[in-house]
Amino acid sequence: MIYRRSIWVLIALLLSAPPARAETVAVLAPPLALPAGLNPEGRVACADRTPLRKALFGDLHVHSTLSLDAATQGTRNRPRDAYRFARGERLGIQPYDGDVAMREVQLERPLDFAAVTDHAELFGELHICRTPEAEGYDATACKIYRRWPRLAFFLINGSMTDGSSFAFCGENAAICLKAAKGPWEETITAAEEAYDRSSACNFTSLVAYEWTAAPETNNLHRNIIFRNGKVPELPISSRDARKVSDLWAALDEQCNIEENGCEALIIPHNSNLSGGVMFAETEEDGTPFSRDYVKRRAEMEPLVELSQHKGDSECRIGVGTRDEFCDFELLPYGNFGGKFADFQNVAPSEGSFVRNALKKGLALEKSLGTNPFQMGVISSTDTHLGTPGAVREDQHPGHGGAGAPSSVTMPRGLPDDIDFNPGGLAVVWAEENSRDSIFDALQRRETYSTTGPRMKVRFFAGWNYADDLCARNDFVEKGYAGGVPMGGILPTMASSAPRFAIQALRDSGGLETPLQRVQIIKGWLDDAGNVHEKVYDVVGRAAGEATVDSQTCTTAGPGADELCQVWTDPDFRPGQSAFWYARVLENPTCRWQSYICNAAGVDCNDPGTIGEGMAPCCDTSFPRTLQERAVTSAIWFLPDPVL
Amino acid sequence: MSSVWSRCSLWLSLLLFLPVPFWAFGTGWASVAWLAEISGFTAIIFLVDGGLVATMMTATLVTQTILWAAALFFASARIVHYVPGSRRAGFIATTGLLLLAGSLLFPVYATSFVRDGQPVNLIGLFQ
Repeated sequence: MIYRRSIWVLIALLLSAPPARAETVAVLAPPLALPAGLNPEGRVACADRTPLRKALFGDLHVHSTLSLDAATQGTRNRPRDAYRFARGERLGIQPYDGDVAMREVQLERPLDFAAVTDHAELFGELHICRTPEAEGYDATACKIYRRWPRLAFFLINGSMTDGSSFAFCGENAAICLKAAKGPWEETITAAEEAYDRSSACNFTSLVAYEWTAAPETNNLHRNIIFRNGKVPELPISSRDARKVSDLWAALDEQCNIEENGCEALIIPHNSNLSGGVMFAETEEDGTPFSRDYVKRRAEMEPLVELSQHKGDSECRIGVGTRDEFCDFELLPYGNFGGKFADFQNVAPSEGSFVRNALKKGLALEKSLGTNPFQMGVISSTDTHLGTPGAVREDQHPGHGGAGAPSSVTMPRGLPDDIDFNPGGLAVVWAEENSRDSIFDALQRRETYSTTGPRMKVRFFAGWNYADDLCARNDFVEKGYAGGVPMGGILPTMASSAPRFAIQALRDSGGLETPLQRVQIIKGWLDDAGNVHEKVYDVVGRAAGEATVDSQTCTTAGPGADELCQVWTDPDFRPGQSAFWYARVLENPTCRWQSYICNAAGVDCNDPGTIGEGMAPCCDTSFPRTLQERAVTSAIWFLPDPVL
Repeated sequence: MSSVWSRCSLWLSLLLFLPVPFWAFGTGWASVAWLAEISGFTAIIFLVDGGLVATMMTATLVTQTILWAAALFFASARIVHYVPGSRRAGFIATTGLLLLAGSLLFPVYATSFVRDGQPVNLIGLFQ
């Protein structure tokens, strides 16, 4: 029992962080010198700015070699390399033969924006262990890191979680904190350099990092995204701010101050691995929500990451829903511990999924005055290879972090664990490809998630949209003029029921898979205080008409290039608060492992064809096909002013 | 060759070359000497930096190292007991050379801590 508990604690500690260690100082990093003639943001206006906004595709969750888990799996790409890759350059990834990468990857279409979000917690320790002239380089922990990286993955991550830092970090971890400035400045500089400040506005890079707390292996990780290059002197890690509310407070103290130009927002991710804690109705330590807490959460966390390498967090069949499409990229474990040891696994619970949170938020708003879960959605990759936007199912390079390592040898069989996937993209509707425009879109939640394909999805709600809106050339103008876009809150009621205008265009690049259908998912709070949900098929075709052969990945059957509809909620009740979001489904295609397994000639009925590392090809708990999708941020309706 | 020397020589060969299974966040096969090496490094972390994780990892690795060392010592004694005294020297030398050759020629060790878990030989294990 003690041993079992100890293992549980160890896994918890590997993924959590120690209590606050030292007071952080509200000193901003010095602004980088900017060419003369630029505006305060440091750029000229974009030539193609449009008030009707355009869809920009990006990745807001990217790790480089500055993250310990990436480094211990052989990742050498630095933040600068990640941005180069995002802009379309070819990039080498591990394993390496000397200095030569044995694999290369390249995006067929560059991203519009990206943010490198390295784990802030071990910036200093990692830097010391890799810098021969650094004080502490010869410490035993560093020797372990250099000789047995995989052992360091467990030992260094874990040993720093007791609240004390390594002896080589010195008193109050001063040496490591000082060393952390190097990687943080590298992060900032890489983002500043990659940002296209010309009028072409080809690429936007955002300064960011990841706050990495996971008490009792329940993931509470969050990415911190900054509006511009004005950022705290050091990232506020989970060693400095152990609780989420401590993180908000520290950001308030150091960043979100009007006069210093620093502004940050927070995007939680992997609620599917949170053991239900991410969207529980209490703080992570069990403290009941207060009015102040829910208000701060709503202000600081306008978005949530829906899908990424480590699974999908929208919803799960049997956990608050019977929606048949809530079977997408589900993990067979409910927290990090469950991945490493079966006995640590926890059953999936309602607090782990975003749709449940959206519903729960309606009730919390009623009782506490603010909806803490009024979140828009994005997706990203969480790549630990430094390869933002590498989301194609037929070109999955692997995760490169917590999965199967291939740091010094070519992957045997599949490039990573079968439970992982290529991740998704963040999409924002922005006037132009600039930091301010993108950050504003994130803040107002005019965003959506895709699981990879670059579908373009518009979603508006109003009270008087015309039936023929889809046939008009001014769909977008009318959409904005007559209501609110995704992420918005419906204005005062002006007719008997809200009308929704949705337009989806299939991805015209990549695998070019046609669209199958558009659904609207509604959640509402009834008069008795109970929450409900309903899924409406709005436009498109039924399942089964289009097919994919998992043995060849050949697709067949009808689909649409564009789907558009004006839809009225038939079940609307003026006295009930509600939300609606849209889900756009592509026709079925192959999941990533199918391309590799088929190419290797794996026939699960013939054991002789199952080569080394290919056994997961025949693991029937992971589907061979899927339906890629876009999920929009919701639009809310609030019937009464809340006190 | 005395039985004590024989026993110790065989034991040493087994410690250095014989692949034994172990567990440390995944199973692996390695020699007890290698286990002792990483146990030592982990123990230094435990002694210098402390912490629950280092304690647990040290305990896990050191315990397995000691248990395997004891088991191989017992096995060595039993084997030597059954080998006639006149043939012990030859037997020990042959066994040691065979173990050494096998561990150098074949990738008989595999641990996720070394080369992504790929099978390696003795040199690869200690690199």
